[in-house]
Formats: sequence, C-alpha cells, structure tokens
Amino acid sequence: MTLEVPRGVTGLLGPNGAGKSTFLKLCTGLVKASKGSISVLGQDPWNNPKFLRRIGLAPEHDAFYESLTGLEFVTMLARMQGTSKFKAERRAKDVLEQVRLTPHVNRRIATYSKGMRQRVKIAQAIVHDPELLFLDEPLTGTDPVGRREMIDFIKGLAKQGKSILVSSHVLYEVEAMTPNILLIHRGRVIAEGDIHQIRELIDEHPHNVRIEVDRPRDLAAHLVGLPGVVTVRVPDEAHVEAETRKPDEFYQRLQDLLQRERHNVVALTSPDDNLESVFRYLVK
Amino acid sequence: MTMTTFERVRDILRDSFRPTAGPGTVWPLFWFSFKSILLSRKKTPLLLLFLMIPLALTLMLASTLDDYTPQGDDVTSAYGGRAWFQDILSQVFFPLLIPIVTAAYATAVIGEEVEGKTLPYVFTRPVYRNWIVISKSAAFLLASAILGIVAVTATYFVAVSITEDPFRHVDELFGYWSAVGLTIFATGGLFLLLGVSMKPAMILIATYTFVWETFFSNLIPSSILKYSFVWYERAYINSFIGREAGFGIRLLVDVPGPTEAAMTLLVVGVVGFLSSLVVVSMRDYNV
Repeated sequence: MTLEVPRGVTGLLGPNGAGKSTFLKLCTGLVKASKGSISVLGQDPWNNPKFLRRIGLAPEHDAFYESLTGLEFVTMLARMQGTSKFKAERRAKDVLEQVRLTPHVNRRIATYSKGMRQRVKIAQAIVHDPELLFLDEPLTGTDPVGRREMIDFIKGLAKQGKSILVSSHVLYEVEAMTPNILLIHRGRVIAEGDIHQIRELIDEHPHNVRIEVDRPRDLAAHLVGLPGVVTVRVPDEAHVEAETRKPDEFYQRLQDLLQRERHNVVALTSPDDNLESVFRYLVK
Repeated sequence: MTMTTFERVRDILRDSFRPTAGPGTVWPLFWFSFKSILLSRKKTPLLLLFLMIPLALTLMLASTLDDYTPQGDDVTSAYGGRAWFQDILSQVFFPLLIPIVTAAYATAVIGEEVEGKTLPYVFTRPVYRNWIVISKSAAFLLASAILGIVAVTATYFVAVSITEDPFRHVDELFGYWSAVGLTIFATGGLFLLLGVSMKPAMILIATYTFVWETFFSNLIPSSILKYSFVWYERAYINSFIGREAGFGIRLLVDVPGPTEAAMTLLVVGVVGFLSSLVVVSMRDYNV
C-alpha cells in the first residue's frame, strides 16, 4: 500500500488490535518487514541512521529511564543525534519549555504524572527537529486540561510545517486535531481522507443505542414513533435497544422524551460510538 | 522483489559489523549505561556483597589459615593465606562469582531495555544497532571489571596478610587482574549472546555456572576440562604465580600454556560478542 502523509496532522485511526502500532513500528524501523519492503521518505527504515535522523517517535508505552530527570533524559537522546553536549542541553530545555515542563525538568521522571510523562515523550521525539513525526496514542492518560494543551501543541507543530502521524483508537481525539485521517483495520488501510466524509459514511448505517431504564416497554413504545428509527427491541426488563438512521435527531428527541415521560435512565450507551463498530460498517 | 540467500546474508553481515556508529553518537549511551550500573541502588550493591563473600569467609577463617596447604595436587610454594587466596580464586571467584556478576549485567544489555520497553528510544536514534550493543557492552565490561578487581584485590590483601607481607607478592596482582579481565571478557561474550538471543537466558547461565563450572568440570578431570573456562583461567594464572597443575591432571589432559589459555578465552569472548551483534542486527524485539 502507498500512503501520503502531507504536512500537518494525519490521524491514524483503528480499533485496538488493528495494527496501528505495528504500522508505526514498521515506519520507524523498530520492526523489520517479514514480507515485501517498506519505504518511508524514500528510504528503508530498518537500521538506517540517515533515515532515523529525519523522524521522531513518541512510543506508545509509558516507559522511561526512570532514574533520569526530564532534562537528562531529553538531553541524552538529543546528544545521541550527534549534537554537542551544550547544544543538546539548550535544545532539550527549549523543547521541554514548549511542552510546558520547565518547572519540572530537574525532577526525576519517576515522580512525573502520566500527563507529564506523555509530554516528555513528545519532547524527546521533537528535540532534533524531525520532518516526520510519529505519535503513538499521545493523549493516553492525559486529563481533560492536559489533553486540550496537547492537542493545541500538536496542532502548533503542524503549523510549523511538520508532517505528523498520530495514532489513536478514539475518533473524537483525532477529530479535535485534524480532519485528515487514515483508517486502518487488520493491517490494511481501508479508507483515507476527510473525517467528515467518513462520518457521513458512518451515518448512512443504522446507529445502535442501548438504554438502561426503569420502564423499558413504555419507552420502547414512544421510540417507535421517532423519525429515522428502524427497529426497537426490549431484550430484558431493564433495557431498550434502538436502531436509527438519524442519530443526531434521535438523541435530541430522546432527551425531550425522557424528560417529558419522567423516565429514570441508568445508562445510555452506543456500541457504534467505538471504532470497532465503525470499522464493521466500513468493512461490510 | 525477492532477495537471494546470498543477498540476505550479505545484508545481515553488513548491518552487524558497521564500522562507524552513523551520523549520531553512542557515547552518551555508554556513559548512561556505565553510570546506571555503578549507581544502581539494587543490583550493584547486591552483586558487590556477593563478590565480597570470599573476603568475609577469609576474615571468619583467618585464625585457621596459618598452616593452610593448597587443595588438589597442584605444585606450588605458596602456603597459608596466599595459598588460600589462590584456591578461593580458582574455586569460587572464577567459576562462580565473576561469571554470575558478568552474566547479570550482560543479559541486561538488551533484556532490561526490552523488559522496560525503553528500546524504541535508542533504536530510533541515528546510530547503527551494532554500535548500541557495543557501547552498552563496553559499559558492562568496564563496570564488571571494576567490581571484580576491587573484590579480588581486597580479598588478596586480607588473605595474604594473614601469613606474610602482601606487598612481597604484589606483582602477582597484575596476573590476577588480567585473569579477571579475561574471565569477564569470555563469560561476558557468552552471556551477552544468550541474553540477546533468548528470554530465559538467566536459567541457562545459572545452570552453566553452578552445574558445569563448579561441579562437573571439577569432578571429571579429563579432556572435558577443555570445555571449562576455569581450566584456561587456572592455566593462565599459574604462569604468574609459580603454580603448576599436578602430575595427575597432566597425565589426563594437555595443560595449555599461558598464551594459549589467554587466546582461548579471548576467542570465546570475541565469538560471543560478534555473534551478539549479528543477532541484534537481524532480530525484531517486542518493543
């Protein structure tokens, strides 16, 4: 397959186990292609320092040399790029400031919060100013504020002209960063392009909603009359399941209905909100 | 495009023995690894304590070592504390303590990075993989040598001073140090290869050290000794300390000269290290 990662952020989306991390490992030379060949930036990534100089990777795992401080960690990896100690330290301080870690740079990484650790990972990936950046699930473990900051930071990097491939299994995370996505499933890219087109594609398929409620049969009777509803089921005495072709309108009407009829809703879930359902639709 | 076997082998060998590190440098990784080993709060103090067991034993038995005579049928003029030190060196340090310390560090070169999932950080720097292994190996060899030499030297001074002035035979120390170095190099190469090739390497190492070197190689004095590190270490060190293998041993097996013994240990180490470079350059680790 051939993929184009233009300047800016490209989202690599897929459910858990879709092959996103393996794809990134192949692209960054961590894993060797067992069949065929791979070329990124026109080069084979495997054990290729000239190529590695041009890329940065923030890996998925929450793993560090815990005994080092944030500054020591980023400086050491910057020095391995072939930069002098003085320049490496200055550059490390710069990028740690960019990820808003300046007050904590002299603390050991072992004492960092999850969000701070994610930021150190990004700092080491950009310390040598790579042209192509791979971020594997960069928002995992960040709190809502940290998430917002990280998204803005990644978008800021994109504005500087970098090409960034961000993997995620959470659609709305990627949506907040970029409209440009690649959908990957079972190791294959099954769709690429604008996220809104994908969303439209998704919306053509009936959307499932499962509601845990006190009087499921009463609610089911009311749901049948809503526009776009295809089927309504009461699988047991606590749940209603509905299928709709107009999810936005359905949710709006449902809210009104629940208030008017004074239903006590325990939980409302939509299996379609997770990417696995999206991919099931697309694969069909 | 399908590669021929020849092309595959050529690529593997080219990747394994890259003469330069690449556009990047591995010095920071060497220093980091070296400092991490020496400043480790758990592993190194524990291994150092382990290496000090002979010293503790010597102190405990000090009052009984005055008229100690060498074990086995080795021919030597040494007696008392000096003979005790020579025996403890060949019976405890060489077959057991030094290999275990070296193995603990050698297997961690890639193993700890894989376990800690930190390998992606170093493998995505612009340096060839063989140089990552070379730098980390240099760090563990140097650290093991420092620990080994400190323990052997301390034990030497304490043991020999029981019966005589330890400075009288201080030139022997250079022989002991070089023997420690050769032992670390040979066992380091072997255990590095095990560490980069397989996960349960420690089990093999323990089996080798406890069962083979300390048990069978001492029990079966025949040509099987040729497959024992200790055999060559003893042959090497004996030339420095005026000690000779006994008649019984010499009847059963050719005792190598010091050069042959040193070369054998060096070759084992070199083969181990070079093979490790090949393994790391072609293997995918679960990172």
